[in-house]
Amino acid sequence: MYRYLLVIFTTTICFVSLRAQSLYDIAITAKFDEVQIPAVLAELERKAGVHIYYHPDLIPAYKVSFDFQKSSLKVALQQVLEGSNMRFTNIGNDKIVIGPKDQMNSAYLVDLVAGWESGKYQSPLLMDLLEKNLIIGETGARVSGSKLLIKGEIKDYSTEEAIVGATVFVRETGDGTATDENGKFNLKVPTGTWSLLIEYIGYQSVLVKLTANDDGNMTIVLNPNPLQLTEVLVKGEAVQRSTNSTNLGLEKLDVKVMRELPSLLGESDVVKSLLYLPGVSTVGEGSGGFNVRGGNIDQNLVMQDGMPLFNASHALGFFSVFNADAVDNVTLYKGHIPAQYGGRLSSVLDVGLKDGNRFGWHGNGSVGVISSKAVLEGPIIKDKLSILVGGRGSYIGYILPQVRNRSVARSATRFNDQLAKITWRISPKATFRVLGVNTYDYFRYDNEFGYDWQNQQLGASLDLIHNSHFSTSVSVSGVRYKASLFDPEGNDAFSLISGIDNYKAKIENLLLTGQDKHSLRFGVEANLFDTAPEQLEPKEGATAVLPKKVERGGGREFGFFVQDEWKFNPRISISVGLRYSLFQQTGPVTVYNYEPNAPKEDETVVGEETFSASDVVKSYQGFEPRASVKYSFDEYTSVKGSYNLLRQYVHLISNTAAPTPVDLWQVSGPYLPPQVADQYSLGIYKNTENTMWEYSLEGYFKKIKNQPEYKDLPDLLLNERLETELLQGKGRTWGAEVSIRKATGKWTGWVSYTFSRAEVQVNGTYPSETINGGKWYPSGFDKPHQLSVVGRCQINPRNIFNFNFTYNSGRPITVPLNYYSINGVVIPNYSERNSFRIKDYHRLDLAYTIDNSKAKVKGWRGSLTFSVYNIYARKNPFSVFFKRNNNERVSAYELSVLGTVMPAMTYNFTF
Amino acid sequence: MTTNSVIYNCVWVLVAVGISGCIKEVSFKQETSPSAIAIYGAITNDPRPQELAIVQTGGFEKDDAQRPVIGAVAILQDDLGNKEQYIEMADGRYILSKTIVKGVPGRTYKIEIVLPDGKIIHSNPEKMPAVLPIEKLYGRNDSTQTLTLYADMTIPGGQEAWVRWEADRVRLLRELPKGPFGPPPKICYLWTHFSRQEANLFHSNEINDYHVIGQDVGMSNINSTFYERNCIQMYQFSTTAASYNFWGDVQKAANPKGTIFDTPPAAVKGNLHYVSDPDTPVFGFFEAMSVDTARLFVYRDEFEGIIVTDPCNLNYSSYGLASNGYAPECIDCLLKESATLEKPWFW
Repeated sequence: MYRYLLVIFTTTICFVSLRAQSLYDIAITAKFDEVQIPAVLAELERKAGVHIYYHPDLIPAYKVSFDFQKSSLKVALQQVLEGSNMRFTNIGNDKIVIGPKDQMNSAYLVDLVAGWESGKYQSPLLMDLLEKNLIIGETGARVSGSKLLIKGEIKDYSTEEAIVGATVFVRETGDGTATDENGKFNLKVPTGTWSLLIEYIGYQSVLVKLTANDDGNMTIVLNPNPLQLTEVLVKGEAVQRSTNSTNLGLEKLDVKVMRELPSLLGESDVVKSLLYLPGVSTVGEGSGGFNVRGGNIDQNLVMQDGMPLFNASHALGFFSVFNADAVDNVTLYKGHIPAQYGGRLSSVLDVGLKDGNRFGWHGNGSVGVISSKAVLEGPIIKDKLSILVGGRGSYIGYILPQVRNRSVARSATRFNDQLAKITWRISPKATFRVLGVNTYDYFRYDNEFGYDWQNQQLGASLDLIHNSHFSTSVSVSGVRYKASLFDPEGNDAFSLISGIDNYKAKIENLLLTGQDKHSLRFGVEANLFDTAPEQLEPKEGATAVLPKKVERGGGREFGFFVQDEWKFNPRISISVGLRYSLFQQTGPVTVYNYEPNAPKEDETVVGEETFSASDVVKSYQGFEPRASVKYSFDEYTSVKGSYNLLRQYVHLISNTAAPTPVDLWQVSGPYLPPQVADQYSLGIYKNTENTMWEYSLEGYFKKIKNQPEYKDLPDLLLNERLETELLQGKGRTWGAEVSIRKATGKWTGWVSYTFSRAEVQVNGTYPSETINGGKWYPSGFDKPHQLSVVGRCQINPRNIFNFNFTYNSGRPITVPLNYYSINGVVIPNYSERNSFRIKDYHRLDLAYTIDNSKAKVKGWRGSLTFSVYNIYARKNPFSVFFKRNNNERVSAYELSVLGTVMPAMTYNFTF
Repeated sequence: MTTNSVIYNCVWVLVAVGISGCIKEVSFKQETSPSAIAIYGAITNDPRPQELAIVQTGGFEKDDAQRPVIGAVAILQDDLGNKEQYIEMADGRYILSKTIVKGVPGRTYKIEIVLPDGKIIHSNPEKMPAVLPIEKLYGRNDSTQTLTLYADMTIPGGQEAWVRWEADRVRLLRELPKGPFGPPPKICYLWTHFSRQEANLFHSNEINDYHVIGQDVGMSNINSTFYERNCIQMYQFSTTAASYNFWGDVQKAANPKGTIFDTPPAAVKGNLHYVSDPDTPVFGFFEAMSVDTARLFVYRDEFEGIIVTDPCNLNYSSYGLASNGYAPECIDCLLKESATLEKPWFW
């Protein structure tokens, strides 16, 4: 018996060995480019005619690229599994088993093969479809055959972020659509049961068995598929940007991409990330706000969930107040601004916050060098009522006492923000949201001076679907911005307080007509502005400070708008809108009268008139037509043109190179007429068929009336006759923006180049009301050349490399030409305004992310980002100034705000 | 610290938070504008002669300093029709003896200057305000070795007042003994100005009497120059709105920090202009102001917590040692600039 078994065993072994030898030698010719390993194995199975068994949960979750040219199967498998702890073996009968090298015993092999053959295990490629059932409305709610409007939203399961460009396909009808820039879609189906296939790269597809009885909402969450995670969302966005939207100059910032970009001190930042987009710039590092196409920072309407923000800066401008972990979507309109938006000339930045997760509790956050932040979200009542809370706090203030410099050690700084958002899904047709946000900054330098400022926002909105054609969104909000400059100690200790309140109500309706060829938005918006009086208050015991209060008045702005998105035919789409705006300045305010035929100066005041809060001081009104036309040559190429007229009634009175927290928000009045801009844009857009590449070229020209400018060396603080320091000029900006984006593949990113000019002309009646002799001169934001290169390399699912390089022309400055000394004081004599430029700016940043979060879908997941800002430590000058040195000579100096390399490390987590 | 100076100082905000801001000196050769005329002068109610300075602007290179204007003719005129010509001294300085035109509050003054090339410059008329007395002058030191000077005053209700302060300092310097057979050591009096680079300004237009207590009017570092007795002579000028605005603009233009919060600079416009060519700038100011003077004597033992060392101590090295180991002015006090043996009348 023993001898018999030995013969059989030996024979079997020899046979298997011989067969294995021939099996492994099968020549494979195949090319794989960024393909998941299960897909490679499936192809090898097909080509070699073998069965390959493995545990689906243990197979490496990254993409590979190979070019096998008559390689043996053995070599191919070795290369595929290289670097992993997986080994393979042939168990006879054309079966190859892959498993962990320390578990490859016979029991494991038998169990694995049995699991496959019983259906317990299957290829991850077959695990993509998740089926769900959904019923909207009561049975019989609508007459059979009625066409229903299903409004949907598609989100990421773990982050609740909107998924842009996901497809929704009705299997029975063949109809389909894709989610818009907010992850939303509208679908019209008759009553009945339908199979909706929802797909997006990198996510497990979902098949929804929809029983549609009435109009309603649906929200679908997609699970990230660990096997396909390396696709980036830019792909879907690219499709939206270039081919579907009629909108020119629309920029979407991918929140995931934003988080991975190299950033100053590792702080992901919405506003700083915008600076890599074409046409968006800033006057320099550390300055708050941003400039769009050469416009002033107050010409941007910055909103958080529809509520305006009057100062979006933390740490004097180094960071923005948006908590990146709570941000759902970022949209910047800089070309065509739809009629539902008004009140600013250059752009609308709409930062949407996530709704709380309705299905489970999740959190995410980050721990950085100078601050940490966290967001927690989850259901209070599952699928009905959810909450999202978030917060951020800085701890740089704890570091200052360790600094050797005594003044620095005695300084203090901190910033923090908190937010809470409640989302109540009352019914499939009604959703109610409440959002509260508080941001706070404090800075004190020794006992000499300091700033503090605070934003408070509270708002509520109700989204209603009336029927398949008609929906309404109602929102109300209150926003308070308050800032103070203070001197903390001494006889002259003071606080200078200023700010602005805004109360807003808006009703926006959406009507689909003309067989859905028209999407008609119409509504009304009312804004009440209450500019807080500027108040100088002595601190206790400060006997050398005279209290002073200057009323700035308030204002009411009403807007009525209608906007039609008209799909004229498959090639032509038109977005046409009209906004009517009415503005009234109200008291309390004192208006001074001046001598006719004389400049407005303190010496020419001839009287004054005082208005109470209920009085209307001055009214302005006008229409604002907006239009944009898109012509598609084919599915991938289009040309667009637009015209916009915009009016701005609220102005930031700021005469510093970068805004300070105590800059004044001032409403239009008798001596400060509204700014009015006409903007013309033209662009051509091209996507490659596989949407891998996107090319765009946009040109624009804008002319502005009543652009506020300032007399030389003005006194703006506590000035009750502000008009004696202000001038109104003309503005003109023009330029071209070229952008090339790569949306898919191992390397993604974009290159954008912007040529832009921004000029001002102030040619008043009197010499004191004229600047540079009435000639056109560059505005402070005129940067003719800007180049951004942003790259992202997905090395493998866990390792990501990012870089960005930015270059722009130096900003215009006014410089001393010579000097004189009188009464012991050295005084420079300056050039004409903005007639010189500082040196060009350029910088390279790198970041490397080790992302362990992608190995699993649930539970605690973390990623670590190492970033280096300004890697070659360029001392980019912000300004050139002159002062008397110790030798009593006057010398020139350059100031670099961040003149060195800034490494940082940030840990991001999700659970 | 004023609100404006607070904003100007914000460069230190950046430095303070340790974000590596840096300032470096650079060469800044560029095409300069043609040299222009700059003038400063004043008429006050002080009966002593007063100076007028006329210079041509200079460039930033070492060999391009500002140059005095020699050979100009300057005439001061009041609203009574009195005229008096300045007497030319050295280095573009001209002296008004006030033998004809007196400084009287309530009177209006203007100046006419004829340059050597024949061009004529006029100033806008300035009316001298009433005298605003200093009620009290006192000083305090803090731990950073700074002496801060404060003044109290009362501004009458209904009177719009613009005030500016300047200060001189007189200090005593004793030579070291020359030995038993040498001459007796001299005692010198050294006159210096408090820094005027940053002007101290104040404005009030209260309806009722306004008592200003503890107004910050000047400061000085405390060092060995306070070893001997010092006298600080504070001038409180009651000026005009135009003068106040001028010095406010000078402060902004002359003290840039180059920070992101700086007000964009510009040339400071004064109250002088060419008669035949108003578009060509003339820099500077001619002002009419009334002055009240107060004096504060300061002794080193009044400084709390600060030890003031002897400048003529052998171990004290910051003055540059003479060959015999002592600072030169300790051997001959007249070597020090602005030193005089004449004892001030108020000493």
